[in-house]
Amino acid sequence: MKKYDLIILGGGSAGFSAALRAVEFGAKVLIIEENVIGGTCVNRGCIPSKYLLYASEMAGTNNMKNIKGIEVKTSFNIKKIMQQKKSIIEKLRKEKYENLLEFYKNIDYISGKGKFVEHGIKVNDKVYTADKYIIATGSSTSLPDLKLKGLKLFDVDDVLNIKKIPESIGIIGGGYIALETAEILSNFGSKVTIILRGERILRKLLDPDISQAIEDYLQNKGIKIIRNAKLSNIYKNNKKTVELIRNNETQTLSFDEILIATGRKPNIDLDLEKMSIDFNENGIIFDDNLRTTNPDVYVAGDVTNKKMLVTVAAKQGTIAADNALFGKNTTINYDLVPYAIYINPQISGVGLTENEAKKRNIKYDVRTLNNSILPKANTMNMTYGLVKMLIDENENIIGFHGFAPYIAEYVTEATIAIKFRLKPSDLIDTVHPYPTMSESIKLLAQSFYKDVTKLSCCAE
Amino acid sequence: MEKVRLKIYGMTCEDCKLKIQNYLKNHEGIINVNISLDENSGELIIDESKINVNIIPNLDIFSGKSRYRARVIDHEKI
Repeated sequence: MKKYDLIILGGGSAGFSAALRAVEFGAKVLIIEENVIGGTCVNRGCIPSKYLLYASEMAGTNNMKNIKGIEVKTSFNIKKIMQQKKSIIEKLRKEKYENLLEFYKNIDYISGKGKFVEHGIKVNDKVYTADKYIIATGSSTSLPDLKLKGLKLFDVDDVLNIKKIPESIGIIGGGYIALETAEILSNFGSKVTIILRGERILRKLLDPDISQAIEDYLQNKGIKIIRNAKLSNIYKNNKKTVELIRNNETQTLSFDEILIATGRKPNIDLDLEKMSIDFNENGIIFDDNLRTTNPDVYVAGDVTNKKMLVTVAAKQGTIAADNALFGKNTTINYDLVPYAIYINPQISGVGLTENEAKKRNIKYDVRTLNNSILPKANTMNMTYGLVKMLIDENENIIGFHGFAPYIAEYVTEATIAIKFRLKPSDLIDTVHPYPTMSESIKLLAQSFYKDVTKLSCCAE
Repeated sequence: MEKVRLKIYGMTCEDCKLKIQNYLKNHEGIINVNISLDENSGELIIDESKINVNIIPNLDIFSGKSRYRARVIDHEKI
């Protein structure tokens, strides 16, 4: 039996990123993947959802209301949209994953469900061994603890493969999947209701002022938001009905479809105990170097249950390979990972929020800017939303967050500012292109020292 | 003194072997070096008062833009 330097369970972004780092230095690698090659991002995540967000935006007329004098009447064929989505996924899966297996001869690939045995991994009735192992098995939708009696509910995969746009949909959850799905289906014409367990959307990620701006936008778009609702039952009558408890009262709401978007859980059905890899209800236990309780086994990607983003997955993959094979002790600074949610306007940010700074007892100062003062936002008549910036006691920039058109395209400027401990004065001293949305970063920096509503264009 | 066994990645030819060998031989605290191209491995004798074994995979020859990487397999006092 061929012995490998590294066996990776999972052929998604984290697994491939680890494999590529390993083979860069001549290591022999085996990837074992249970599902289709490429993982969540290309097959069931970023790529199909961003395509559908764009397609739905084009199909919907909602977003053309900003320019007067243009009348747009659209129609769409969901079957054709899905066919194009499929071909885009196939193209990217081939270019980003399948072709790599042909190019990198040191990577072997096996399709099948791998599980740990005493000294290796068993897949398709054969045992494979290696010096080191990386678990990169990803995550899957976490369903609520309710007896559904065979009732079929939507998860995000069902939305990404939708055949018919439901007249109405109830979305359980207020995270990024709930929001992007709400945007897609609302653009395609569904009546969307978001049902929240807590008080506001993106409660864990954002400060209340940004959540509020997003909620105002969603409600203005016709999306209904129900707060502080405890889900007590879901059943089928002539429609699909949710039973909610709010303020000690029971309320029922019926929809054509119900989407469960209450979170994702790591995939750890791997017989971990066979190789002394400890885990608990949150997933696999590991240290800052991504090393599990078995020093020969590392983790990367969504299975870590850290920020479930493809950017994090790929970074963790590289680091896990470096640490496992090459004796490094590299760690990740999760504060420097920007997030982006692609409704329009976009939600994005990096570093600390006010909530997080308070939790860590960090003294901070903060400035907030309404997009309505930005010339670029005015030229597009897209003046809703806001951005905010945090600095610490030393005036180092420690956070940037917002809800603004194209913000995911310029959040990198803030990431670099935080990474290299820049101060507002460094940004003010940097000429920004005009008129752009990214000018808001410079104006935020200026707002720590002066009233930016009393400045002429580009003035310092 | 300590004997350190290394797994070395990225060697493809005799030149690679010599490059790593010369680098390690000239490094403070490394007393003797024996690299095997066939086995992708190395055996070092080090003076642990001058170099910590955990530093070895992070030396320049095994880091950054270098084509080589190494991992300590085991080490013992001699």
